[in-house]
Amino acid sequence: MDFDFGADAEKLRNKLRELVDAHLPADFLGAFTHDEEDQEVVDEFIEILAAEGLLTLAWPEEYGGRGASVWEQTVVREEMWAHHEPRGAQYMGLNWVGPALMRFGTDEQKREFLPRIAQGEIVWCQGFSEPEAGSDLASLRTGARATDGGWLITGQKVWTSYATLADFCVLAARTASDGPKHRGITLFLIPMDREGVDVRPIESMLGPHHLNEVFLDDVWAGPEEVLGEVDDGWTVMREALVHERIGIARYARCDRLIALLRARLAEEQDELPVGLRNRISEVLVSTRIARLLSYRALAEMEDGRLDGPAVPAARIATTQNDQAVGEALVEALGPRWLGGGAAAPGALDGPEDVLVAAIEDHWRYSQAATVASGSLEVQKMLLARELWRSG
Amino acid sequence: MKLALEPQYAEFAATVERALAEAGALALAREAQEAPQATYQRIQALLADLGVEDVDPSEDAESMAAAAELCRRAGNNLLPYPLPEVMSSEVADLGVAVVDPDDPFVAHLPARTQWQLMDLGGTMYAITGSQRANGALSPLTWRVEVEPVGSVDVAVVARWLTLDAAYICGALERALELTVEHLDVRQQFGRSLKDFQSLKFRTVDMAVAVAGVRELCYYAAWSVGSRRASAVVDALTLRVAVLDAARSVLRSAHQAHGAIGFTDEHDLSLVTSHVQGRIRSPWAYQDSLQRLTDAIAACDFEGLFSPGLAATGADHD
Repeated sequence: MDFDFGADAEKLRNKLRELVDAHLPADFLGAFTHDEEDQEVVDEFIEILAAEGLLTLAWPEEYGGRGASVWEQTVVREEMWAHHEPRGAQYMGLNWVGPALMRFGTDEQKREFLPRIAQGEIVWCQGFSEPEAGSDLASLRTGARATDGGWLITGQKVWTSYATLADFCVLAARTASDGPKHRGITLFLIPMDREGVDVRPIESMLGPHHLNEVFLDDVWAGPEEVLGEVDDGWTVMREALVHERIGIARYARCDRLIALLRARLAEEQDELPVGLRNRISEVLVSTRIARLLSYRALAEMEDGRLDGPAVPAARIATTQNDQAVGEALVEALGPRWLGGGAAAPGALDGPEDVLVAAIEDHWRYSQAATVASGSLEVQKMLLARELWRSG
Repeated sequence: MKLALEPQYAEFAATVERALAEAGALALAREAQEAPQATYQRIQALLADLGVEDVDPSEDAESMAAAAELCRRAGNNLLPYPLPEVMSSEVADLGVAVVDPDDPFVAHLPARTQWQLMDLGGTMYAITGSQRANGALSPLTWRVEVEPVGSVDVAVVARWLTLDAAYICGALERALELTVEHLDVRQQFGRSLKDFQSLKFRTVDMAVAVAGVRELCYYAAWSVGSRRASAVVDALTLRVAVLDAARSVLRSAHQAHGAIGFTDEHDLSLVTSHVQGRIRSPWAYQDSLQRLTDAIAACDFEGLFSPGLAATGADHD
């Protein structure tokens, strides 16, 4: 039993922190803001990571990776999320699109896309959810009508994070309706600048870019753009969702924000109500639990077990922890956190204001944690299935 | 990063598990309620035969993890024997436990002829008197009187806290197993109870709580066994988590079982009563949480961004 990452992984962690310190502005809170300069910061940082071979560390070498271990890749995901994801929307390609292509893509698709993902050259969005198909994703209605040599796709997607920034979409559409609803879905790799694709952003409390509508009006797709088998997109989607569910190391940002707040409060911590001091201890405990359950899920996935209780258990713990930590941090700050930083771009100045803005951003973003990528209730349904399958 | 026990320890734990099942599993706990001394002797002989005493948790992280695993399996069978107290001790025939000196209780007191009690600060106490508690919720628990006689290495405190929590974790896993089984088998309104979403989801919450505690058991065992500076904090972290889980898991288990779960003949009532001593003594939830907060103030908490990890992240000897 050993919970040390090992010397190589710790060196990598320190290296990533040095890169963050050297290349990210002190007030950087992610790419998904109203300030376009933040996206420029991300673009530059991606180039630096790509040049160091740090974007797709754990991918096989033949696909642009270094064949690094899952634990080294974990260090990258932790440091990136903890520092407000300076890879921006790239993380989608890295977390689940790349793995899906490696597993289900044709040789041409792998050649076309994997090196470009490894170099940080293309941004992906996920075209799964629809207004009438959220938790019940298999009920999706966007249709791909067979036509001469391909399909014409018509329908509407919603959620679709980063659709305005994306070059390509992994788009789920119905190609057959005469069987169980999860059969008859096909995944297409569609360029976002193809005729008939129309993106409309949705403003939300999560901040800009996270939610969009994507309208599809007779969008062409050719057979070479199908990912996996026709009518069997569900197989690819299920696996993609598993990777997505634990791809974001949410606990790492929690760890960092708690540590920063505790350092900032220093002796003032003793002036907090005893209940609140103890609440901070409780979220340190639950954050460690979220982290360890995530490691357990990763170990299971490495052993080829994508089903099983570990992934939903990790997701349930991690997403609820995000919210619990958010609550504890804003209570410790007091009402000053409401001003935040996102509401007044450029108003940040000094380490304390950045921390307040970071905590405010975390609280808002964590509200969606138990809804995104399969809601808490869906995770519980999945775990229940496992409990009584093996029981 | 290694998240599994060494194979020889994993196999040994499975062997012990099988032996406990063959010896009667939870029936042993019932026997002990009537005839504690005879049962303690029988179990001691069984464990000696299996070679459990060859596992020395003070040796290294791997042996400590193995000891935690054995205590977890013991808890899963409600083994009526002070295994955490025996394995925490570095002296044969001596039982070791952490108590609240203002209200000290010891589980399975007659199973050892000699005892060394401790508080969180490492003060050592001798027993000057004892009386079996004998409540419905304290079947094999003894109230003692103590006097301070010296001090112990706090490493022993951290060891006991970890092994005690591992036992509780195993017991909570039993409550979960019973619940999964009951909800599957019990039918009302024409269907199995597990088909009712509120019960299904409540059981899932139990499973997540138990899974989280199990991971913390391994982490604390590694920390204590490796003699990390954070060992006491990590052991208290585990205690806080297992007590929080105990509160929700036992409540949900009883809710799921309905009236049958309260009856003496049902195993769930055995779980609840036999684990009460460990979850209330030496400190229940709030007192344990306060001690964790105080320990973190003194010694910090190791996360991905704690001061110790910010620099080299390696050296803890």
